[in-house]
Amino acid sequence: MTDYSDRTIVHDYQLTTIGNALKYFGYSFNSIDPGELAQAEELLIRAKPHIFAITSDYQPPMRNGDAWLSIAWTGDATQLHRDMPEIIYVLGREGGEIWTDFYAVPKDAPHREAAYLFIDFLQDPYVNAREVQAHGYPPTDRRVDALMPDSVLNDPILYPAAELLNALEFGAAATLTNPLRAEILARFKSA
Amino acid sequence: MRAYATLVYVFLYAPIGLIVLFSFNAGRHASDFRGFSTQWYGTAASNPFVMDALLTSLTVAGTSAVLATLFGTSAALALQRVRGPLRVIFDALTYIAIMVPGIVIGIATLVALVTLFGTVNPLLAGLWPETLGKAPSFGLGYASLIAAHTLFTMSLVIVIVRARIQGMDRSPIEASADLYATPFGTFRQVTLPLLFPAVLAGFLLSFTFSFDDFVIAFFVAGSETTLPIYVFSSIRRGVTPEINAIGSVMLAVSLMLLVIAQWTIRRRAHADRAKR
Amino acid sequence: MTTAMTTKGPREKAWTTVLLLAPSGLWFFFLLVLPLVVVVVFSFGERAPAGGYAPAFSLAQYANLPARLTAFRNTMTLAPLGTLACLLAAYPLAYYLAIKAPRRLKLFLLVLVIVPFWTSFLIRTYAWIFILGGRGLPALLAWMGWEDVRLIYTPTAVLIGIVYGYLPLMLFPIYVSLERLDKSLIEASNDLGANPIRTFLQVTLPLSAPGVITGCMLVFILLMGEYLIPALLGGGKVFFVGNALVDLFLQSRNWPFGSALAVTLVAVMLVTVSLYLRLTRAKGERDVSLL
Repeated sequence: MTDYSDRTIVHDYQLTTIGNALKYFGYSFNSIDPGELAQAEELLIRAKPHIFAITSDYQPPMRNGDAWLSIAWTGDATQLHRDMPEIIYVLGREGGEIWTDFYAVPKDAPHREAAYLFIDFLQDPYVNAREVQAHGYPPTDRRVDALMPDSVLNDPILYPAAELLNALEFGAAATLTNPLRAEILARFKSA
Repeated sequence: MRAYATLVYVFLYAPIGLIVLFSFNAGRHASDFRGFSTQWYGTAASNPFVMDALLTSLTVAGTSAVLATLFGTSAALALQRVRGPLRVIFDALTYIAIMVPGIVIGIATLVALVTLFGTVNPLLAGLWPETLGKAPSFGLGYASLIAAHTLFTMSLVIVIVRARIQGMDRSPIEASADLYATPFGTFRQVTLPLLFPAVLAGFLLSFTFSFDDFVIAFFVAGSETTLPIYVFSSIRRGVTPEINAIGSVMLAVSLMLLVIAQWTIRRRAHADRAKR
Repeated sequence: MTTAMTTKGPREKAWTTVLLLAPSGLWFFFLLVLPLVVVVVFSFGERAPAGGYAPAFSLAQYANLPARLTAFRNTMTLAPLGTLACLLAAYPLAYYLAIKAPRRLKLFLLVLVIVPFWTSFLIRTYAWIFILGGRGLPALLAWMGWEDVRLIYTPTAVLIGIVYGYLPLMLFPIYVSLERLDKSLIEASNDLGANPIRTFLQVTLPLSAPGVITGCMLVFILLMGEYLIPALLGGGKVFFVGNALVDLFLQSRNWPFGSALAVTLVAVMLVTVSLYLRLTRAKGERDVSLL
């Protein structure tokens, strides 16, 4: 099971797919430099015959055993590993993406106080701890860490070694909205 | 021919069989079977969000199907007598409504409605008499969902009913008129029964489209959630067999209603025959 | 053709027409024309720096259309193929239901076709991903001797998904057309010595033409904007106009370009549809009022 040709999934998402291609060359995950992007695009198109699918919903084929390798978000990795321990999660040594979700209240929301109360509730360490154990994404709150069982704290998926995190980058707004990167993904999907 | 028909039904229901099977999945993901359990039925029943989403979907689909059938059939009938530019415009609009891809009409309707509400609501607030309390304000929700779905499904009904009208034999209608029936009487007793298969087909397709629609609903639902929206947004959290359970229940209920309807029709047919 | 005797004068008839067209007319105005105006206005605009629409008046978006030529080409292959596959799958079933099925079962069997679509689309697709994946049908075929059959994430899978998803839409109009077919015409044709194929080609098929044309048109049009089935069952490796639109609106947030693409797509569809309509109108329409 070492030939991943035609068993690999990349995301239908320019940020992660192009970002990881850039990382292969040692460039920034967020690069919007046309020269670097051209190299990333060339790599992607060269890899395309070996790619099983371009999709962000990769759990079904991974669970079916049709795909053996996929770019994955932490929560999916936790869920997959929990059900199929033979699936492991690795952080590339060149790096990749680190990200957080956040809560947003619309400016003209009619019940803002209720929204803030709800966010307070979700951020309560006991509540947050239960959420984390359900969805499998690590928390950003040390108080929650204090409430986690050791098995979770030692889980390399949720709490990877600190040095592995150094090579990861947060996605930038400019990257997400960059039209050239979007065009590259479109060309990659059409190739 | 019957063999082929059976084959098609097997084709249609093979995935459905899998869905029901996987609803008894002890595992946590909808696509990964790991032993038997009925837990997901309990989870679904006690999940207020999914129940709310289901109810919303049923209401929206039912209402828009009724509206679509009413408006569409009326329009199809009226268009028979209309000529010239009005006819061309209506024809074009009907087909365009079907043609515009869901994502485009979804976003465009969202922008159009938000702009419309943005101008109407302040006006209304300004003009509303103090004595009647707070002015009503329009927003996205049930109404916009039903409205957007009705647009598409109404056009479907128009197309299907018109095709039926086109191929229809006019002589029973002429005969009925010649026999001094009122126009409405002719309509009720001759035309409508002849059109019924098309009207029913339109209704069923309208309900199905609306119930199963994700793209348009996603944009115009406002703070409401339909079942497809709930299902698609659970991809990140992991799609659990809870959805299979709901699908299976929908299936069971629909099949049961269908069987009851069939049985009722047959009993009435027997009773009619016995009366003669 | 005789004109029906009615008790209504021409003015009353006009009022009836207006009344009947008013609801749909209103709907079209507020929920189609207004959004369409939005789309057209967007198509002449520019992409705002963070995505979305920035007011402008430029033809740049339309000039940029060739960038999506591949998508158009792929769609123009998929749409006719899918429509044909749907037609071939649906027609015999429509024939059976309309002509051969016992009368008391017709409604039942018809609704039975559509009941599967009252489950969630995503779950149905997951079921297909399983059936077409390594542990489903290919496993069965391997057990029977056909090794290494690859079905999932192929054009075949997409075609299967399309036939599955669009079957009711093709079936119902054809059924409606065939259902009003006078069986005695078929009997007469047989009595006059025609073999079943000739009867079918010269009697049944022409009479079911309106339904066939309607079904094909509906499926073809909707197929041209389809993106979910190719994305989920085709592994996202083939790029259609529908995918291009979704990506432009949701990923690159380039609403003006997406709008220009949409306008072009609808224009192409309109041309196709009016060609189809020429075909049907050529048969002539009998205009006795139905009211």
